[in-house]
Amino acid sequence: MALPFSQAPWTLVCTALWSGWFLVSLAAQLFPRHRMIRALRRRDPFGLIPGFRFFSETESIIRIQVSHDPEGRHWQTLPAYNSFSWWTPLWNSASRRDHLVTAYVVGLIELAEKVPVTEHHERALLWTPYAALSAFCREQAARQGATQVRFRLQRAPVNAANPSFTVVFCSPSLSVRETR
Amino acid sequence: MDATTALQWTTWLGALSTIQVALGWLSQAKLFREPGLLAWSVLRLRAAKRRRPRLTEAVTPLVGYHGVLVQLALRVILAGFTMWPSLPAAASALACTALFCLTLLWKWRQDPFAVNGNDQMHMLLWGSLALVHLGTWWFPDEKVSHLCLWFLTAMVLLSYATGGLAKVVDANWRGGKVFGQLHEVGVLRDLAATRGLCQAPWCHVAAWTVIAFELVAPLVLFLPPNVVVAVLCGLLLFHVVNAWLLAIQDFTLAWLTFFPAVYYTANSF
Repeated sequence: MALPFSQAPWTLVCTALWSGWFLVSLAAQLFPRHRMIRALRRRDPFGLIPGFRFFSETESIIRIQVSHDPEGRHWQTLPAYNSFSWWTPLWNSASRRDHLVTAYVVGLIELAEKVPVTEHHERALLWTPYAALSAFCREQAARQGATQVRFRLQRAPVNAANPSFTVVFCSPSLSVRETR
Repeated sequence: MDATTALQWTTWLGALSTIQVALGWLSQAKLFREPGLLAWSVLRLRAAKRRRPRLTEAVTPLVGYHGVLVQLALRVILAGFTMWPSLPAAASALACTALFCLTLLWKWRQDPFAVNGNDQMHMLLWGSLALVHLGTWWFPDEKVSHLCLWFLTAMVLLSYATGGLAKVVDANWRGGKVFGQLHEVGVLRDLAATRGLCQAPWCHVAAWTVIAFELVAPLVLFLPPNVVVAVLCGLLLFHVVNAWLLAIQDFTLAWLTFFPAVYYTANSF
């Protein structure tokens, strides 16, 4: 098959752009921790370099439990996505909030673990999930008629190097503590 | 299928996917309002730390509550506009460029907590289509369409292969434990069939089927046209089942958008 190259300048520009985009994306998938890839991602605020490692980071699987009593004696597990129906493959906009809570919780757990979210995100980033979840907790507490809601966030055990632990997140005191 | 038809299908499916995602966010507009999970007062903490604070202040009207609603509405309108038949090249180029810029602005605002795979696919799609239509407008050359379809094919097949590789190096996927963990935390839909998936030997069969399916997806380029159609139907079924079991509805149309390009490129080989 003949390559569709021509001397037209726009074709050359497009060839260069698409080739470069694909090669950088390929390198970023194969060597995500390489220092050059990390440096490129730091200089890529719009995320032009995609990441395709969907559902492979199983350490992100977490359990969210909520308790409405101040002592935190009765914990109830929140379902991750509470809206499943036959039309889910096409329309399930309510799941967006649940996905967001999960993403913030993962960020918060990583704050407690004192490790960066990913290689290219600074530690300061982790205050975002903290602030977002504090607002979420206040909203939940108000809706339930409670003055305080405790969230217990528990990561599923993965292996010996990554033991399970719990973060207790109280509203409105906004304190985070971890118990290993 | 010729390049023009493949690009037309790609544009239609991409527009539908963009409209689906934007309407989904619009239906959850309260998330962007204070004190919602995506309120700018929260996200700007990250933006101010990572970028210049003055820049963050400057873009606040664009990405605040009203700004983000306007952005989403514009995405719906522009995506609908690109579906119009026999649109002039200049109008297509401007619409695709605007959609690309809006996707980048959206990703910048939401990163990293609310950026999904579909946002990445929309970025690749509208960026590439903008280049094609700008070319048609300024320097007409049919070969740009071929290159665009090749690029889109390469990226979507890279996404499958990367997903497969990342899973195969993960002990939980190899050991089939991942479905049990997803089910335990409520991510996986609770059905008799999914409960069965969490136990041996079905957990191993399911995990390795997903891994194998993703890893061999790039081989579709070397298959005869009829088999390509069958493989693409299999991939579509894979996405629909994922969406149904895992509540990740935006992925299906976003990936389906790239299938005409894969079919075209596989036939070219």
